[in-house]
Amino acid sequence: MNLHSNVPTGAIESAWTRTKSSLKLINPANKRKYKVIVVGSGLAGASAAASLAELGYQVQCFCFQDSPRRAHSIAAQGGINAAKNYQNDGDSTWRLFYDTVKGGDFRAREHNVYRLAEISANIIDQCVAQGVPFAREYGGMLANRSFGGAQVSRTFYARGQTGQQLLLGAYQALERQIQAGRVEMLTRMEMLDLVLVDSRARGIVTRDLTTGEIKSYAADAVVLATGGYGNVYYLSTNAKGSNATAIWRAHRKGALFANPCFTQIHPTCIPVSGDYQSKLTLMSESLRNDGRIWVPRSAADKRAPNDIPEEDRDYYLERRYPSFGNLVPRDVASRNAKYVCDEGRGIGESGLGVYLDFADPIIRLGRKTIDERYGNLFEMYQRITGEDPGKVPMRIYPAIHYTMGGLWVDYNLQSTIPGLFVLGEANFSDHGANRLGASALMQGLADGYFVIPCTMANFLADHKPDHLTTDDVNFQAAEFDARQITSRLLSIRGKRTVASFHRELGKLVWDHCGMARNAQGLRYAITKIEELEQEFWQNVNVPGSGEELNRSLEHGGRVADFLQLGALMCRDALEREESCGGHFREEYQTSEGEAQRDDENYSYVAAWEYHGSAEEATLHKEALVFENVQPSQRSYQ
Amino acid sequence: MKLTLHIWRQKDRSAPGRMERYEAGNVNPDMSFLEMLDVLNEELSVSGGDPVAFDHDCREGICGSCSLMINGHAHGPRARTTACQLHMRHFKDGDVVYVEPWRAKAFPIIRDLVVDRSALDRIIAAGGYISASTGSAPDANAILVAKENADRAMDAAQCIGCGACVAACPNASASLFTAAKITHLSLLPQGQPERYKRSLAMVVQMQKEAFGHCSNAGECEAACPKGIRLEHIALMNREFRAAVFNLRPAAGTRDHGD
Amino acid sequence: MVAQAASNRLLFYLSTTPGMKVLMAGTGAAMFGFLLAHLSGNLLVYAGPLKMDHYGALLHSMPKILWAARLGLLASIGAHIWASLVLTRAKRKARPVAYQMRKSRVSSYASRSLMLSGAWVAGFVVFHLLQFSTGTVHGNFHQGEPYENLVYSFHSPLVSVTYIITMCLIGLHLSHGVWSMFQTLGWNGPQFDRLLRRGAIVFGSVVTAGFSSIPLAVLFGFVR
Ligand SMILES: Cc1cc2nc3c(=O)[nH]c(=O)nc-3n(C[C@H](O)[C@H](O)[C@H](O)COP(=O)(O)OP(=O)(O)OC[C@H]3O[C@@H](n4cnc5c(N)ncnc54)[C@H](O)[C@@H]3O)c2cc1C
Ligand code: HEM
Ligand code: HEM
Ligand code: SF4
Ligand code: F3S
Ligand code: FES
Repeated sequence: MNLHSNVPTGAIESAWTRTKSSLKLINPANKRKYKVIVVGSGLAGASAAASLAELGYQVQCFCFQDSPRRAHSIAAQGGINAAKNYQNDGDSTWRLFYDTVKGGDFRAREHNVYRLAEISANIIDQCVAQGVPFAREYGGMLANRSFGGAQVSRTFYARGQTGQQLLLGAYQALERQIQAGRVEMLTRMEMLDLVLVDSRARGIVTRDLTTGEIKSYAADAVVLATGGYGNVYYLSTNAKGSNATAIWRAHRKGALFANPCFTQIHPTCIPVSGDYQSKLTLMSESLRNDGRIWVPRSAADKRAPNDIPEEDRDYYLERRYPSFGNLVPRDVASRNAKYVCDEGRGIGESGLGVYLDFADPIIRLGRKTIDERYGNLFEMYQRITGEDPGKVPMRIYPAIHYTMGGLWVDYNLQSTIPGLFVLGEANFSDHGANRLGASALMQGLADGYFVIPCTMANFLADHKPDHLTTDDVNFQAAEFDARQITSRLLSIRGKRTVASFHRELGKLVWDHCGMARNAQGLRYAITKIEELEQEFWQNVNVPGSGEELNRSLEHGGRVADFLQLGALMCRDALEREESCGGHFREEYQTSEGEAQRDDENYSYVAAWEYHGSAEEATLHKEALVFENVQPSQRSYQ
Repeated sequence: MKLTLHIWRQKDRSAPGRMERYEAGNVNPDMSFLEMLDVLNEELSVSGGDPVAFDHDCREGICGSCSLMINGHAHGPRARTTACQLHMRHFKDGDVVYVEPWRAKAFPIIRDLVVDRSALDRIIAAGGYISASTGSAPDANAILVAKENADRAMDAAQCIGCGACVAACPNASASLFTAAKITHLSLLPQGQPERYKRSLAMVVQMQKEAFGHCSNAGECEAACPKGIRLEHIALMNREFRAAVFNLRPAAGTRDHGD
Repeated sequence: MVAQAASNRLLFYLSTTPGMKVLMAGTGAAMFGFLLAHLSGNLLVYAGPLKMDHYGALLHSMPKILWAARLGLLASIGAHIWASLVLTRAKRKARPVAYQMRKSRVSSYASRSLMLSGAWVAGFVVFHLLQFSTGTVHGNFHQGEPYENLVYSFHSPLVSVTYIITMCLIGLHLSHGVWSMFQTLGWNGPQFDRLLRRGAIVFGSVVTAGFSSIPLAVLFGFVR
């Protein structure tokens, strides 16, 4: 298979403008004759569905929650980047582009990233026009802050609820189109399969989660915006329902899956407290601006934190990284927390945690100032743990937070299946091996508001509407397959719950394909996961029937896909014999213990083709060419 | 600790429902309320029982999915806390806990504790937006917004659409939800052109959806996990009145109020 | 044309729940105004029979104004009751299946018992008119001598206690109603809310205390 990225030639600064003027158009009267399916109503899906409907296409939009407003984008806290340079601090499209490519450790496609940086400014304009209440200065101008170690203040925010406000903006735009009759919204619907007709994406199969009805929908093109797959790890900062089913089943139908092992681990989450734990909660990274991270010097030290004197504490980040200290990037902070816990010096009952201490800053700045800065985060922490971080050091531990990998797409966001477009976290496009803070929201909205409306027209212009219906044999076959999977899950009636399989898978992937990976562990994990998958299909217990609301059945189907994806993640990690961004192979590190990239051999996108199992999957490579930036080694010492 | 649970069980929309009793034997104080239900459900599935269906997703108080009436309080007894953020340390060993779905004509029960809240989406669809089609926006700093107004708009915009206000209201009114959106948008300059049209359409839709009226009981404000305030309902009343009596038809079109 | 549009708008407004609530608030305000006036008139008992009867006579000497006020009051009561019935029915429909367990957090007893206190008052007004305006249920009625009529009636502890209970219920109704009126009309905000809530309780208490003092005074022989 030949991977055509379709990136424009010529100067990168004007590439998107030139592309837009060369993309084909459809006249307004004809747009009405085309049907587009959008799966997902997060930032990417809602913005795409609304924008496509505004242009005149007939859109059907699907989500598994009871309302499009509940998509997981709602949970993003920190903010959204845009190269507006409102602060006059030297920001520019170029600088945002460069920071993003470098942040991604030079494993992203230059042209996609440049376009993202370019569009970022339009996103803010669009959102403000929709009434998104971004923070403002007294003069009425928009406020910015610097985020995730960036040297310029380019992050726009709405208190600690930026994702919520951006999503509500997109959701309201979507509701406007629903009211106008241009979007049909189908909620509590789970996409179970993609339907191909003549090798082109022509529709989907869904299960109605309230009635259990399995049904298919036909269209002229299909857009997937179904979010990330962090829940492979069972415990993550993702919402409980976040799943990979839509992209995985599309992958099984032929869409290549790119860089599955590129996952991001966030260093400051609240640690696990027991095996009943169902998810992890993110605490904003900003806490590291003042808080100091430490563990006891000795593994044997089991005293309460406040009883451990200064000389018996190890402020390991400050010790190892004198110039960046507690502010090293996410992956470095996470990995070091793992190391100290591996040494047995982790804190808390599970030994999986480190302290984030505010005692010093409180003495230096006063409790009042600290409360002003972090009051709401302290409150959130106290609500969950019952402890006041102003009095006892916070306990934190890394958790999986974002997945850079996803379905492979070209410059037009089209997957390897013609007519199948993938947006937002579900695709692999812009973040390389590591995503910078506040840039996922930007990508989701760039894809949905500004890219897909142009590239969709270009695709449809070559495909006359033919009013295909679901009577077509391909739809019937796909529906049949989906029913098969459902009835198979229900017929096993084994001894183990779906959740127990999910937990076991999560632990395997976390231990061997998490913060640090090595060949031996990855091989072990692949074997174990494949065994677990076999056991799953013999011993899982899914109670109830298929003709009703059945949460165990929904979960069962998702875990079946996670099992396969988990194995592919390990395979991809095994194959990539270098360290880059969030992918840290213990065998490939510098003498200082930092990630060692191998640009000569691994400067490519790994795109996997499905053949039944992770071992049989075949690898296709899209070479990454850097014409505008010079790959360099990161160093934080 | 041990708890006795009384949970509403109902097969589907039309089936009759009833309270059923369960013993939760192994409750850890650090669990969240939903995790306590997860554990119960795991026990039910291995013992051949029927797990309890409830809505949830983010489990951090922002998506608005969770929707449980716990011991007679929407989202449980703690102020400004969603059910997913409620931890078991606020209960005592031996407590008896009643768990029911939101109850309102406009929120039909789908199964057990899961209700259909699409009526809230339809209120937004009726007018809870600013018509700004993609691509037409001016520069974001072209229109200034006083910080005070931006902050007040944000206060109102924090609504998570959970429906606890409806559940807690003696009249099952959606006034707090509707008022929050009307306030958010009418405080911003961008919201002015459609201000009257929006209030009118949203209030009328609220009534069509069979929500009750507001008799100023204030229960909604006390139950709201995001601190949306009654002052927004006062503002909605004013906006709606102004809308009915002031809305001017655009030249050549028919009047809305007639 | 313009007038017609305006009246149509009014009708439309009254068909919505906020409109209906404004009707309740408006009619409630009218009744509240009457009560304050009525209270000040009635407090003339403490000035003696001459003053009070004179005041009654004065009112009756302006039949046009009197009847206009009576009609206005009657319409208010009618509209207030009608709206309360429509809204109560809608509210029942809005939650057809009750909770097995439901607790209130903040709503006052007053706000939850408006229908009860209101209905009681409505019944009372009928009795009250038969007693003091037509004399139908009065053992010793003298047209034009309110002072005598009143003192005579309140000598009966049963009548007095009934009145006092009623006054308490009116006070209760108003202690929520007066604040609620402002909220309904949209004349409330964080700066005023506490003031208005307290003000409503003060007004409710003044009405209860003022009116109740009269039967008490008669019973205990301060007014004879
Ligand atoms: C706690 C947290 C904080 C974050 N903070 C930030 C931040 O500050 N800044 C930043 O830039 N990024 C942040 N991120 C990342 C960012 O929020 C996400 O990457 C982004 O919102 C993803 O948007 P999306 O539209 O691609 O997918 P989502 O918002 O996840 O939407 C997925 C949609 O697909 C639907 N769907 C999924 N599967 C199916 C299926 N099988 N069938 C039908 N429908 C389906 C869902 O119903 C949903 O509507 C954060 C992430 C987390 C977890
Ligand atoms: C002396 C007579 C009365 C006075 C002064 C009075 C006054 C008021 C006032 C000021 C309100 C507040 C309106 C608002 O919320 O905007 C109110 C509400 C109410 N009144 Fe009365 N009222 C009287 C009699 C009655 C009667 C006779 C009834 C019923 C039979 C009644 C039933 C109600 C009800 C149900 C409400 C609440 C309406 C709601 O908020 O849903 N009242 N009243
Ligand atoms: C202690 C309490 C009260 C006393 C002593 C009292 C006394 C009287 C008297 C003497 C009259 C006859 C006036 C006349 O015809 O010359 C009267 C009339 C009336 N009262 Fe009262 N009243 C009391 C409370 C109330 C209350 C609480 C209400 C209303 C809720 C009320 C409503 C009326 C009305 C509607 C009339 C008829 C007025 C008219 O003829 O136009 N009264 N009252
Ligand atoms: S107003 Fe409060 S209670 Fe009502 S839906 Fe919004 S957040 Fe929930
Ligand atoms: S509880 Fe209900 S009555 Fe009004 S003030 Fe809140 S909506
Ligand atoms: S589960 Fe999202 S708010 Fe409770």
